[in-house]
Formats: sequence, C-alpha cells, structure tokens
Amino acid sequence: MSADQEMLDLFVQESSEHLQTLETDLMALESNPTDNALLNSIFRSVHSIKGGAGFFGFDPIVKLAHVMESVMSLLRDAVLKADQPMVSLLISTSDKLNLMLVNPERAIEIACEGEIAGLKAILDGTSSGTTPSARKGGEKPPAKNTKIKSDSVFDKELARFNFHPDDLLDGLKHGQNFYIVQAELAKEIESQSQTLENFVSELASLGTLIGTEASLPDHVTLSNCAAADVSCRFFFVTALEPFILCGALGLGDENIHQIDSSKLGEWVKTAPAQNMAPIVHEPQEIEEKPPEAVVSQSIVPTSPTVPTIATKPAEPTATQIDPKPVAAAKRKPEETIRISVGLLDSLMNLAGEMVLGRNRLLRIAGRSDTGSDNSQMQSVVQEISSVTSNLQDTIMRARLQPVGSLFGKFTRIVRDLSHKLDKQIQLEIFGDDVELDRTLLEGLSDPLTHLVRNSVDHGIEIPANRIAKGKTSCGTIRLSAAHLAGRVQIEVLDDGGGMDPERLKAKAVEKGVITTEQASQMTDSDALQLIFAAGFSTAEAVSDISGRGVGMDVVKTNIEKLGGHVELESRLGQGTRIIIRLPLTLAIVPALIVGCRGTTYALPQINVDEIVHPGEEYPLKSMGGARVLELRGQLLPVVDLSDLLGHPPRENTKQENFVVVLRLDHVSYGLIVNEIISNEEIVVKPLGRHLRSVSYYTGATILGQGEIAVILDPNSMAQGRISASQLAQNASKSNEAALSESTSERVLIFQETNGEFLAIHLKKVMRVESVKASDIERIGSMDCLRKNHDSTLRLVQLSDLLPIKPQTQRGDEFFLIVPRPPFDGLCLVASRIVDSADLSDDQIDRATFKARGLKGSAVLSDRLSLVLDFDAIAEMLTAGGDETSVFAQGHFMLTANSQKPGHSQHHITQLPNANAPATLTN
Amino acid sequence: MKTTNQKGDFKITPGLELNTSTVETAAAQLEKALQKADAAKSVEIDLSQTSAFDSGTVKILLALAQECQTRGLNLKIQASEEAKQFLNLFHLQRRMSIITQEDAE
Repeated sequence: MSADQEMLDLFVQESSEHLQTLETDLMALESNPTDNALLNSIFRSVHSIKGGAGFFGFDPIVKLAHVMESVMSLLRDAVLKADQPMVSLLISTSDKLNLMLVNPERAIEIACEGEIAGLKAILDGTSSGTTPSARKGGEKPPAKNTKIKSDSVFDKELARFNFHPDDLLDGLKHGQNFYIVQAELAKEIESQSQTLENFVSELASLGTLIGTEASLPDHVTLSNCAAADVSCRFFFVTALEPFILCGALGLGDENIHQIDSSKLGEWVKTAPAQNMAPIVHEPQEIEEKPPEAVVSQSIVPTSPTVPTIATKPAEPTATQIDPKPVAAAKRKPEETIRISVGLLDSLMNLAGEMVLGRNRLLRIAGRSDTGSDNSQMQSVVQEISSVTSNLQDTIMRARLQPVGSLFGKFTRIVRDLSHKLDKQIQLEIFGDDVELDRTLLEGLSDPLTHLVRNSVDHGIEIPANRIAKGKTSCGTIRLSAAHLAGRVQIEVLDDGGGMDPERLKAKAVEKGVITTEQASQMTDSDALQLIFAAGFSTAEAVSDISGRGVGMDVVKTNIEKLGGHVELESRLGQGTRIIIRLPLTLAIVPALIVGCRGTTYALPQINVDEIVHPGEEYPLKSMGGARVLELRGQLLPVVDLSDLLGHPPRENTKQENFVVVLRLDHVSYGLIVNEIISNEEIVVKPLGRHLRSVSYYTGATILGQGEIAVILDPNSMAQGRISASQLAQNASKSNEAALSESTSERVLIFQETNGEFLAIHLKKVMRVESVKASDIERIGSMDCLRKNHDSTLRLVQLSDLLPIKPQTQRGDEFFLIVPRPPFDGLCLVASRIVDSADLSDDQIDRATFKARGLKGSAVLSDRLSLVLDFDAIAEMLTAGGDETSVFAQGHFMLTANSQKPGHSQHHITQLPNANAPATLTN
Repeated sequence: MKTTNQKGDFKITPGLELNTSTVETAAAQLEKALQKADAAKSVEIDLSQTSAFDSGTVKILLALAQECQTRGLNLKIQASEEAKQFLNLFHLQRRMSIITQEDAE
C-alpha cells in the first residue's frame, strides 16, 4: 500500500470517528442547545474533517463541512441558538458527510444541496430557526472573524514585537501557521509547575519565535504590583495546528490566536521593518480582549484522533451525553497505538498455534520414557508454558473492545425511531466500559439492534397512553452491560407496556406453534418464550421497523451462535427485560472431551452440568419412542451422539455409555457418549468449508496429542431431536436452583486416608479426577498437579485443616475432588471415592463432632461420615497468612493425557453412583 | 537595601532576591529608594544577589521600568550572564539596559 493510500485510509478512519462523536454530540445538543462544551466539540469535529479533506483536496467535503462549521461558529459564539429544526439539519449534514467519506473521491456524487441551502439560509439569517440571542450586557454580537478589520490594527498588533518582516518570509513560504501566544506568566505557566525558561524553550522547539513582549496592566505600579501578573505575548510561527499547539504548551484555546497568513503576506510586502523602539503602552482593552482584527479563524483545540480503548466509568448516562471538554492541561504522551484488526487476528492465531505446540511439548516432556532425568528440560518447558499462556492472555485482552462502541449507535436509532413514531423515549446507557471480544461485539450488533427497535416499536407506549396509565409521557429504555460470573451480561430494559402471556399463547395457537392443550398447560413464564419461535409476531401490522416475525428467533439463534443465551422477563403494563449472557471470548473455551465410536469430540464446559453413568440408580428408559434418563426423580430426555452423527450401529453392545447432562437456558437433556476423556481449555478453530453445513458442529480444535476434535453445539443437537413438549416438561429452574431448594441434597462420600469417611455436597463439586502420584509436583511447601498450562491445581490435605486421621503416605493412584469456581484452583485429596447419597439438613448431627470446616456428622449408606462445610474450609484456606494457606489461583486444568483416547487410565471420573466401582473404567 | 548616587547614576543594591518570594518587600523598598533618585538621570539595579528568576523578577523589573519612565529616568540592570539570558527571553532589553560584568569591562 502506498504512503498516500495509507494516509487516505487514516483520514477516512479518523473522520469516521469524528462523525461518530459528532452524531452523539448533536443528539445531546437538542436537549442542551447552549452547552458550550458540546458546541466546541461539534465545532472541533467538523473543523478536523474539513482540514483533513482540504489537505487531500476533497472539495465537496470541504464545502459542506465549511458551511456547517460556519453555523457552528455562530452557535458557539451565541449569535444563534440551536433549535430542533436546526439540529435536524445539522444531523442531516453529518449524515451526508458520512456518505461522502465512504468514497471521498466520489463525494461530488452525494447530493447535499438541501443541506447547504438550509445552512446558508441560517447564515444569512433568513431561516426560521435562527434566533439571535441577547448577548450579555447588550453587547453587540462580535463581527464575523473571517477577515481583518483594518490594516492599521494589524500594524498595531505587530508593532508590539521587534522583528524584521523578512523574519516572516520562511514561514510564509512553507505555508506555516502564525500565532500570537498569550499567557500570564504566573497564572498560566508557572502554575503548571514549569519554569519560564522551560516554557520558552518548549515554544522555541515547536517552531520559530519571532518576537516577545511582556507587560503589566497600565494601572500597576511598584506599590501594587504584588497582586498583578505579567502578561506575555509571543509572536510565533510553526507548522503545528492550533489544537496541537494548545496541547503541547498546556494552554487553552483562548491563549492562542492565529494570524491570517495571507493577510500577513500582504502586510510583509508593504510594512516597514520594525525598530528597537521602546514599547508604547497599549490601551487596556487590547490587553484584555483577543485581538479580533488579526484573528481570521477561530482557534479550537481538538481531541487527539488516535483512538484509545475507552474506559468510561460504568455510570448511567442519558441519551444527552455530556461530552468531556478537551483538557487544557498538558497531555500525556500517546498511550495507545492504532493497530489493524487483521494483525490482531493473526497474532491470535499464532498464539493459539503456540498453545497447541506447548501442549504437545508438555506431554512429551512429561513422558517417563523420554530419559532418565529430564527435570531441567521440564523446568524450561514450564517456563515456556508460562510465557505462552501469558502471551495468549495478553493478545486476547488486546482484542477486547468496550461495548460502548456498540451502545453509542443506539442513541441515534432511538432518537430517529421515536420521532418517527411520535413517542418520547429516553435512552440510558450503563456499563459502556465493559469489554468484549471484538468478534462477539460484531455478532451482537444485529441482535441488539433488533431488541432496541422492538422496545421502541412494541414496548414503549405513545405519550397519551402512558399518561392514561399513570406513567410519565417519556418512556425509558435502559441498555446496560456488566461482568457476571465470568460472562458478560447485557440487558435491554424498558418501562413500556410489557407482554401479555395470554395474547402470546393465543397467537401461538393461531400460528400453529403450539396446540390449545399445550397453551392451557403453559405457565406465563413459558408463554413469554414463545416469542422466540420462528414466524411468531404479535404485531398487528408489518412495519419497516418490526413485525415481520423473523426477528426474535433469529436474535436467539445468533446469540447462541456466539456461545451465549438470551432470557426474557416481562410484566404486563410495567415493561420488559431481555438479558443476554455472552462469554468473554470465543477464542479459548473450557471443554469436556468425550469419545464416541472411537472419535473424539469436544463439548463446551459451560453447558455441562454433570456426567452420569446410567445403571440401576440412573436407569435409561424408553417412553413413547423417546429415550429418557431417570435422574433424581426427573425424566431427562436423552440423545445418543452416535445416532445423531450417523455412526453405524455398534457390534459390541456391551460397551459402556455415559450420559453427559447438558444445560441450555432453562432446559436440560442428556447426551449419550462412550467415553469421558478429559477437560481441556481448547483453542477454537473455524471449521473447514466442507463441514460448515453440519449444524451440530461449531468449530474444531487440536488436542494435546495432536488429534483433531470437532466441537459440538448442544443447542443444535437438541433441536429436532427433543420435542418441544419434552423441553417444556424440563423447562424449569436450573439444577442448582433446584438443588438449593430441595430439602434433600446429594453428597459425595470419600476417604482421604483409610480413616474417617467424609461427605461433601455435590453442588460444591465441579468434578472428580483420578491421578497418579507421579503427576504431582512439589512447589515449595505445596503439592500441585502438573498441568498443560501455567495455572496449577493445589492439593489440599483435609487432615491439615480438620481433626481427622492424617495421611502418612499417598498411594500411587488417588483422587482429586475439584470444587466449583472460584475455588477450582485447588483440589481435595481422596484415597477412595466411596459413594454418593442424599442428605437432608435434619440428618446432620451438629452436636457430636464440632470443628471449623465441619457441619457435623451423619450416617450415610450405613457409614458414619463427617459432613464437610466447604465454605468454611475455603475460608480457612484463603484467610491464613502462612505459605501453606495461600492457594494457587488459576483455571482448572487436568493432568496431561499422555495416552490416546480409548486407553484412558485416569482423568475424568463422573460423579459416582452406588453401583459403579470407585474408579473410572477404561 | 543600599543606595548610592554617583554622578547622576542612582545605584540600588537590593540586598535581597528579586523574585516571587520577595515581590511585596522588594517592590516597597524599591519604591522607597526611588524617592531619593529625583536628581539622578539613571537608575541602576544590581541583580547579582538574585539567583532564582521567575515571573516575580519580570514583574518587579517591569514595574520598576514603568516607575522610571514616569520619573523620566533610564533604567539599567546590572546582571549576571544567566540573569541577562533570562531577561532577554522576554525582550526586556527593550525596556531597560541590561549590563553584565563582561559588558562593563
């Protein structure tokens, strides 16, 4: 790409950013027409676009921007006051500039005569929108600062300085900018903790100082000089634009007055050389007012155009956002750098490849057959592993962008739609500094747009109806984003009319989505979910805004494709709340690796609730042609992965199966697989084009052994296989909520040694692993499980914390019980997994065995077991001050699997049942 | 503050630094000293004791220059090279004569 093309691309990019700011500011101007900060910001944006366009010679853009700038100048000087028609015209002009910038070289093709005529009419004072405001104290409005009043004033200004006209020639020849920089020495220079010498030195480094003049006000004498300040004026020439000069010197725009170079050029031709004559004291008014005669264009600082990752505080900001004024203080050196998205994507891919290579290296280094002593190599490999993970994390962070960049566009959307529908709507934005991976942000744009448009169209009532209902005439739509439990939660909340479940059911029956019988059995909560059905719309008429019935199902599908899910809550007459939950990134996800007919697949861990070994306790049954799993009193529909994927029927019918219980929103189902292999954080790779049409696959990954595993989509696998009625049967609160509300809870019984039986509530357990002693590393005084990545799993001996029989020697193989996050960086050591059982609160004897970390004791499966209080144990581990109490933080990681699937001797153990042996089967 | 009058040259040795920290005191003393300078043609201020220069230095000298102009006196500043460089930043040489020891020699 040539340098010119690069500069042009940069101009287009920067101008687009200016136009985004411009649009936001214009929206805010409607409500705050006299806000000087807004007016200045708008002026700066237009001025910057005009300047850049002028540099490239894009005259149509310059022409349009110039007339807009002129109107803004009058608004800024309070000659005019903005009203709604004027703001609409300015917004329309901004839109035309936007269109022109799509292809600046063909900007002439964009029709903007209407905008130019309208703006010129304002300038000429013939538009109805012009409202000359009363200036303070009846002052006359300032003359348009587009030309010098008289040459005599010009002479007078320049006479203050001692210079030769030839001193100006170089600057004139090179088209540089001439300024008079005015500052009070103590108040504006020394107050910024810089010396006068440094200031003058800085000034001189930015250009050429032609002349300097220092003076005191006329009335100041020796007797009263203490309170006065010296006013200094520097006649200065530089290539810098005014806003850059302001920033470099740490002065405000009122300190810097630009001189019209063309007039200066004319003056040079005719003016005599200046003498070293003593200064004649100037009249007071020249000291105080900006020299209007010489100022030919307004001086306005503009904000830096290099984009930064904005980090606005998560505070509520209404549609009328107050733009932050440009700081007059010295700017810090540039802290950001512009980088292409393609480069970031490449870095991400390379980091992913590095992770995979690192995984393989770890496996090779960990193999006992590689040599007698490879501890040095392992140490190096661990270092590489750590650096690789850090690199990966850093690059992932670089891809994050604030959701504010997406939320910002809704200001305009809500404004335009509300005007079109004659509704009054205020948009509130919260948490616009929350960051998301840019891929997610891009994927979220359309669904969120649809949801906001729906809120405007269907949600918020017209003012008359709102007032009749006792509401304010202005409705509110609130867009918010927040981090929650490792995900990003985005909400669209309105205080509109809400949804009528009965009406939804009626429409669904009418459209054949559900039967009358199903409708009669449906709860209000389930009825709300009907809007996600394809072809469903309750709009009386199709409008260009909404009502075609192809919206919400597509919204749901698109969000689920991003790895998220969408929920809806609504109350008739009060409003609707739509919640979208998304992962932070799509690039790396924790996954459960499973095997089916010798092929390896990956399931997103976020959807995995538990793993069950079907048998007597959890029997698989057939009901009405569908297979179900009886799981703790509930019938869970199941899908056989091998049937789903079309694997041929197996010959060995004795092969054991596992059921992975998958959770989607409020529904759950089981997936029958042959093997549970491992948990891994996988790098998501896109599918090849020949596999993209398979709806069950969302991507692929390369496992540590180097083999490829396809990533399965739990949503797609459920659709078409599990009937709506089955899902409706399961549509209820989440398992966790169900567990917490039930009187009896499931506990896992285990032993740390051959001593006491211990019981831990299963809701606290994420998973159980069996490991070899050789997989454990001693780091300091802690035993840790050697991992693929840099994060470690710290082993906790409960006998160190509880009054139980201590473990004298660990066996060659044992178990690790890994708790749920945020404590998944540690694991409890168990020599034996005994059983699981139901335990109700009243079964716990809290009197006999009392200790911190224990709830009490109970007889479970005919054994006396100590019931652990895991919350207290976690507290003990995190609150201690000594080395042993600091537990390793990190993500969950498994032992490296040095063997191929099908030969798994260890790794994931499903939650056991009474009939299964204590260890995993192969 | 020490003053001498030699052949029409009224010399003032401030005895203190002339900068922001001493503006009020210095200005008052200078004003008082100038009252004795009516018969002189020029006023010379010895800046050799001032080591720290700031806006207060400029302010005092400008006020002094104004006072001298009112009284019809020429103002001279006896300064070190460093002081001269500082004062020249603001082109004060247009309002007063700034002389260093080297210049005098």
